[in-house]
Amino acid sequence: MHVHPSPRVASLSTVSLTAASLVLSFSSLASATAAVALPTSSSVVPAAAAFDTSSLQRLAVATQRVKLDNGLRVVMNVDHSSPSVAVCVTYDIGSRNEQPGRSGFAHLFEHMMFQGSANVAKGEHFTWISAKGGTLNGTTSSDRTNYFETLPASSLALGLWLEADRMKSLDVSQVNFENQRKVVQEEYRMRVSNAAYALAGMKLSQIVFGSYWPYAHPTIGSMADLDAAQLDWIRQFHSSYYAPNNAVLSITGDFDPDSALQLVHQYFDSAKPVQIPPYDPPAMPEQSEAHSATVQDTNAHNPGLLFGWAIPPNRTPEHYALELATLVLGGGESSRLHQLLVRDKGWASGVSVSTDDQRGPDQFTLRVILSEQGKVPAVTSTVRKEVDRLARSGPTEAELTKAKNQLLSYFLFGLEGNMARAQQLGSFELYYGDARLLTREVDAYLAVSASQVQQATAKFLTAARQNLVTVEPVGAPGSQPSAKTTQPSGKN
Amino acid sequence: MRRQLFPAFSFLALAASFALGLIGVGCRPATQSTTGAQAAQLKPPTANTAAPQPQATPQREKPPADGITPDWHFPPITHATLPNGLQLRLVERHHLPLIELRLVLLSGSATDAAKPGVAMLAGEMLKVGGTGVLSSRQLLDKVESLGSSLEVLTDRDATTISLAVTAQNLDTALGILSDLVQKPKFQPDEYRKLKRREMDRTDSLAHSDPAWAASMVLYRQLFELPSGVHPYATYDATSKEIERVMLPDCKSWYKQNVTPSNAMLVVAGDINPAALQQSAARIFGKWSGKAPSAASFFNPMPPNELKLFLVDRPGSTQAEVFVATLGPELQSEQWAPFKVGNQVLGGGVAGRLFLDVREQRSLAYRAFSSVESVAHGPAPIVLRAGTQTAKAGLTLQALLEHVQRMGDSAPTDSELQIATRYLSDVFLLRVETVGSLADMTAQLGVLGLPDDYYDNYRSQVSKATADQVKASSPNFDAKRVIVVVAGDAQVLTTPLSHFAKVNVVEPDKSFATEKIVPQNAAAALELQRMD
Repeated sequence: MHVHPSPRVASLSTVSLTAASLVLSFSSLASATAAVALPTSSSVVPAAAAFDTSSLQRLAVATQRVKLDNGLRVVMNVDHSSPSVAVCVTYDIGSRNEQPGRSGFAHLFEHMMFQGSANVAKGEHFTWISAKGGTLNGTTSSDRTNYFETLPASSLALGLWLEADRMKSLDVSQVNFENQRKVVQEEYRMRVSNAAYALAGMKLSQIVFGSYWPYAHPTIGSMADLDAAQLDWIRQFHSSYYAPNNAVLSITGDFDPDSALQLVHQYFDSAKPVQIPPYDPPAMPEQSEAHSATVQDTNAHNPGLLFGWAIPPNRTPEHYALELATLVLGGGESSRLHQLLVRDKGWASGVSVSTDDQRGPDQFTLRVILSEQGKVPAVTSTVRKEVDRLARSGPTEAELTKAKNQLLSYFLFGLEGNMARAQQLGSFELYYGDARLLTREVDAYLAVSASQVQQATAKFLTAARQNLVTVEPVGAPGSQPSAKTTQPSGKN
Repeated sequence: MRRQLFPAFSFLALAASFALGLIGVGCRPATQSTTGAQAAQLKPPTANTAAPQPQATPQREKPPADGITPDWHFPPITHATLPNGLQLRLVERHHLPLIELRLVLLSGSATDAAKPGVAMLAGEMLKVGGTGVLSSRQLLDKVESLGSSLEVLTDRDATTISLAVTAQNLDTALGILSDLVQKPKFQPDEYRKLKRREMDRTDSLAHSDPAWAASMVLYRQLFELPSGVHPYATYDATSKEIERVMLPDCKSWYKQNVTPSNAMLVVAGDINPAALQQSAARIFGKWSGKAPSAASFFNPMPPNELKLFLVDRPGSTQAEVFVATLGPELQSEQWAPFKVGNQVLGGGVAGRLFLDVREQRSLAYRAFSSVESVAHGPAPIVLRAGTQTAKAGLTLQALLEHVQRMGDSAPTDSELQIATRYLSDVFLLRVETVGSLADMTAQLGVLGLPDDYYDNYRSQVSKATADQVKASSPNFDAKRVIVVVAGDAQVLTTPLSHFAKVNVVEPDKSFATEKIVPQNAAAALELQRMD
């Protein structure tokens, strides 16, 4: 997958830049395309040609699933078009499982998985993979943690062996723990305290999810919790969550499935299943009145507005409709809000509309970074009016066709690379019980009607359910960013 | 449709987001560099950084052996030239019904001359200034209705217009590209709006983006000439410079540079040469114009002393530390060994910067170095690490130690082996997508490299010896580098004065030097943690 964040929305696209090419973030609409056989009404819209879904069907056919006796779920997807393979292990543990006071720990733990295990010394994940021409990384989100490497096809065994070794054992020392605590704190500074609009994003989730701790707190955690983390939590965490029955292993690319499965048995069969601590989320509170907050931000040059609404989980009918709504409102430079706020009025430098696609209750986010000419009250009311207009009248057929074509492109281009495919198949197997469901996603989007988009917008993106964080740039030397909630009304 | 603030936190930041890359004016590096890697056997240069290595168990299992490395060659490129001079380059790939297009104009920000920003503004006007019978909005709607997006990317040596489509939409896509270059309307009200957006963008970056702000100073210094301005000295235009570029300047840039004999149409994906040539001839056949005269490049000299610039970011919790110098030219024999040297130093997660500055000294989350490929003259190499404000002095010291170590000694056998194998075999991973094939093919055209370049490069890096690596980098001298730190000047001036006189630069005032603080070699390097 290649990622070309659009230069014109730099201030927005940079917020997801670093992670963009790791998670199959359909964010930077890269260059992508596809067309679907749907009617068009505008003379400008070219006659939409039939979309070729054969590649997605091929994906379904080429995906095999196997479960080992110890509970490890294995997903294999063969594609010989490039002489490389990707290996990904997705664990059912994310920041949603963290206890209050231990925010950021799942991610700090992820860093410790690169510090050595029974047969791998510190640094050897990097040197051994690099010595084959491979690349590697690990990521933590609210819903899961994954570890992956891409290698020349001849080195598949190495990737599997390394993953098995750190599933079965972890070699932790106080020195390495202090090292990674400091590294993660630098990551926090880079992405949060030294970045414009970042703290506001965290504040928004905090007020959207309120007492629903799993998603109300940020995956990166707080500086204080990172300072307080203890070494013995690491061993405890590994023995609780890092087990074959809590993980999915996905392999994609140029390999022979029989030989690969033989290697999987050889390396992973000795991993012992454990009793996984139950995940017991609190009830998601229903919001009855609007909330807003102001965040002062020394890194921001211009004001920003972050609107957020709680919406149903990913892969529910209303969620599909709301995803299409994100595209109508903010997908690409011809979208409603981009045209209105950035191009016509010149009030904003960037607009971004998205959902987080979480397993549990999800968040619909609409971000506007103002330009020098933009005024907070006027932009706030304009955004509200545009959301209301969509809630009242829905998208035009041409807009809906465009949104669907954009989505199809993201699928086609987004699943082209082995690593992106390994990660997506792994997440789908873990979250929804069958990796092959990924290939049916397209049908679910294509089935959404204009009135369903309108109805979902009207139901969820209401003024009463709205959360708004306003970013106030403060330039005073030495002043630090701070957040304050101005109207902490309601139980949320 | 995930587009969230932090989709996930990762163990390491991709080089893509870090690379100063091929740069450009108001834009990102055109291609994603890969995280690279090499050797592990790094002995930390100073005693206090030596952390005990975990003890391996006595009977450690050995990692499994490899199979046979796949034979790999960059796929064949089919060439054709239309009578009007437009070059066609095609890489076929038929496994998915996708086509990636790059219309490459061989003029980038290096052609800005006395009007920094003109190439970027003119390039963007092709997209937003109206085209033929379509308004900008109608054009974008047409492109996005195909599920595609239109991007104009201006880097130093080229302006690239990108589109990706499913195979059956090839002619529509070619028609859009053709209209962009042949029928731009340059509508004045759109230009006025564009300029305002661009001024706003650069004002925001100057305040909000430490890497952008540091790069503005870094390239100005690295490409400083005794007189005049080097074409590569401009990383991006400032808001004031953008204000000075008028619509006639853009039109004149367009007339000179947007011509078929200065262009290359690169296509990768599900299409055969005959069909492409036929469509291209029909759609681009009437495009006319001469190639512009070649710009002159006087080679810059490497820095002759340690020059230190502090880009002020009041209240900043982190300091972004950059150290840079010049390497060999892309076409020289030193190039491949130099790239190996960069890989040893900081090309990836097995590089010295990552393994020492991050994994031992705990100073940074990101610690990498990168070499930029430029079409003319010596290539910049940039080391970079972001650290908490209190540790800026220690981090700069660490980067300088690594620069010096590259100059003083050859890499170890293990480092050499990992770096060369990485640089050679990472190509097996770089051709997974049609977009990557298109970008790599376009890059050959922009840099004037032959079709077999990637194959030859792989063989050259594989053969590089430790002595060649050491000899490839005469400019690795910690006393002769450009240093730029983006951070809180009020706190950082003193620790940084340890190294050299400190030029404090004000990004909100067009990067003017606000004050100069003399060197104080006795100044303490480390401060108290501030957060």
